[in-house]
This record gives sequence, C-alpha cells and structure tokens, in this order.
Amino acid sequence: MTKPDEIMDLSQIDHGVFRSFPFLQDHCITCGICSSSCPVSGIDGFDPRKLVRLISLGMKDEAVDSRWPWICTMCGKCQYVCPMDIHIPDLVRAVRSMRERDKVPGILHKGLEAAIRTGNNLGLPKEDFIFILEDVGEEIAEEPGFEGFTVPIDKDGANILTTIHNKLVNTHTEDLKHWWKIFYAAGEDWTVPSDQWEGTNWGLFTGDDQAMKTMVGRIADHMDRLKVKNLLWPE
Amino acid sequence: MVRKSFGDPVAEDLRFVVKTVVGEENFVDMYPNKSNNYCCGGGGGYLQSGFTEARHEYGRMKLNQILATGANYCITPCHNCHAQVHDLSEHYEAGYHTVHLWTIICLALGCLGENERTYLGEDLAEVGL
Repeated sequence: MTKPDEIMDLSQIDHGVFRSFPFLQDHCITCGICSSSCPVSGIDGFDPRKLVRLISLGMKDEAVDSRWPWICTMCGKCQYVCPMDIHIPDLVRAVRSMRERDKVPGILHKGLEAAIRTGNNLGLPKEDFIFILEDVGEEIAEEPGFEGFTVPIDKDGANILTTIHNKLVNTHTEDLKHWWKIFYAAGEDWTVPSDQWEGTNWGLFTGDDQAMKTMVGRIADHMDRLKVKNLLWPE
Repeated sequence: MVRKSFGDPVAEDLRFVVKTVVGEENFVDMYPNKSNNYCCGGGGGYLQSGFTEARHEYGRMKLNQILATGANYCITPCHNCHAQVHDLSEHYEAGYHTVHLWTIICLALGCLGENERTYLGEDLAEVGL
C-alpha cells in the first residue's frame, strides 16, 4: 500500500502568496468542528475547513476568485470552537482584501469609496444632513414631555459622541428618535458630529485596512476635537 | 459584540435590559445563546453583497432557533440583525415580529410615537398611545 507521504511530500507544498499569513492555518488538524458549527456550510459547497485547506495549500486563485469568503459573515463561531485556535474570520477577511476592488461584490466598495470621498456612504451633503437632524429634532419637540428638545450637534465636552448609521438619515429617520428619546429620558449629555458622521465601516467587510483606518481616524478626531470622553458607535 | 469582543458578561447586560423592559415572565432565551449563539447572516457585508438567496439559506439556522422559542417577537440589538431577522420572517412566512431593542425601550418608557411603530404587531401597536 502506498503511504500518504509517498503520494505527497508535504515539505514541497508551496504556500505561495499565503506564506506570510499569520492565522495559524497550517495548524489545522482537519477535525471539521468548524464546518459543523458554521451556518453557511453547504452553500456553494463551502465550509470553513475547505477554505483553510485552500489557504494552507497555497491555492490563491481558487480562494480569491470564489464566492466563499463573501458568503461567510466572519461571525467567528468556527474559531470559537476550533481546538487549534485558527483565526478563520481574519483569514477570510485577508482573502477578501486580495480581491480586485472593482470585483468586490454588491455595493460594498462603491459605498466605501463614497464614504472616503464625502464622509458618508450616501454622499449626503453636510447641509442636508444637518437639515434632517434638525427636522427630526423638531418633530420630537412637538411630543408631550419633550418640549424644547434640540439636537446637540458638535457640542464641546459632551459625555457621549454618537455616530450615525446612514440608513437613519435616509429611509429610516424615525429610528433616530428612539435613541434621542432614550438620551433625553436618561438626562444624557450627548452630541453628534456635523460631518464625517458615518458609523458603518465597510472597510471592515471588504478587507480594506487603509479605508478602515481612515474611517476610524475620523471618529477619533471628533473625540479629540470636541473633547468627548465616551463613544457610542452602535453598528 | 458578544463572541468576538466583550464576551458573555455583555450578553448578560443585554438580558438585564430586555427583561427589565418586557418583564422577566415575557422573556424567552434561544438555544444556543451568548458566545455560542449562531450568527443571523445579515452582517459582514452580506446584506450589501447582493447574494440574497445565499443569505436566506444562511439564515435558516437563526430562523429555526427563533421558531423553537415560540416567541411572537424577536428583539435585535443591531441594524444588520434587524434587517436580516425581519427579512427571514417575511421570506419564510414565519409570522414573528422583529423589533429593535431601542424601540422596545421607548415603548416601556411610554414615549414611543405613533409613527415609530412599523415593526410592532397588532397586540402592541396601540400600547401607550
């Protein structure tokens, strides 16, 4: 009988472009617990173990061109149960980062480009944003118990800075009210930035570290500029 | 937030808030839960990727978890979760309602406005008006 090491000399495996990946992928013992735990196992023939093997075997094109890294949500259940603590979600994100940017699925990269250029995924101008916030604030002020309510935009020294999910100044403005009413009821001292307010960071999803750093840096700059101690980043 | 960042203590905090606003007798936990829970399938860019059919398939695990509780409402703490869990109920005609955590907090505070009740079912639609 032919022994496995006569069929394949493991020392000759070319890890290729994945050689520098620090995610412990070569520690995989192929137990398959990750695959049993993953909600997306089976779709497109995907399971986490197969992706880990692709990376370990240096199969770049198969990994980068496939839909596999994009039908995973990087939820981390696989790593949570992995006996070898392989960083599978980080590995997935790193493979996403290797996709040409014009081949990133859906609206993810376009939204991110808009955010880098304009400060938010929608490309919403600053004056329109402020108009929407104040308009919603005026609606709240008309409700009993909220007389005199105003939206504290760019307030120096507030206790909490909150970012905004772009959906809330687009199709779901009524959802802004819940947050603000809770702040009001709690007597919270809060503020919201007048620009660069985007709370979603699609660089996280697309594996774009530079864009992600830019987006995070903007929030950090608001905290410094307004001398705010706490950040509420509800995304 | 639970599995990858703050761990089970923050999941306990969330349960404290939910039980406080809905009443402990109205809270049903799902299984598995906390750090061992399953992802709903809305995050990580899935909702924006355009892979709707795969996303619905991914969500079947969460759908079955929710249905196993027998609860009429599923409370979600994030925008992506809300969009996905709500969409799963509609797509699979599961019949449960999906509400944001902060909507339920405002309802409990008695300050949920008339036009902020899109996601409430008939039984709660008029409460506190």
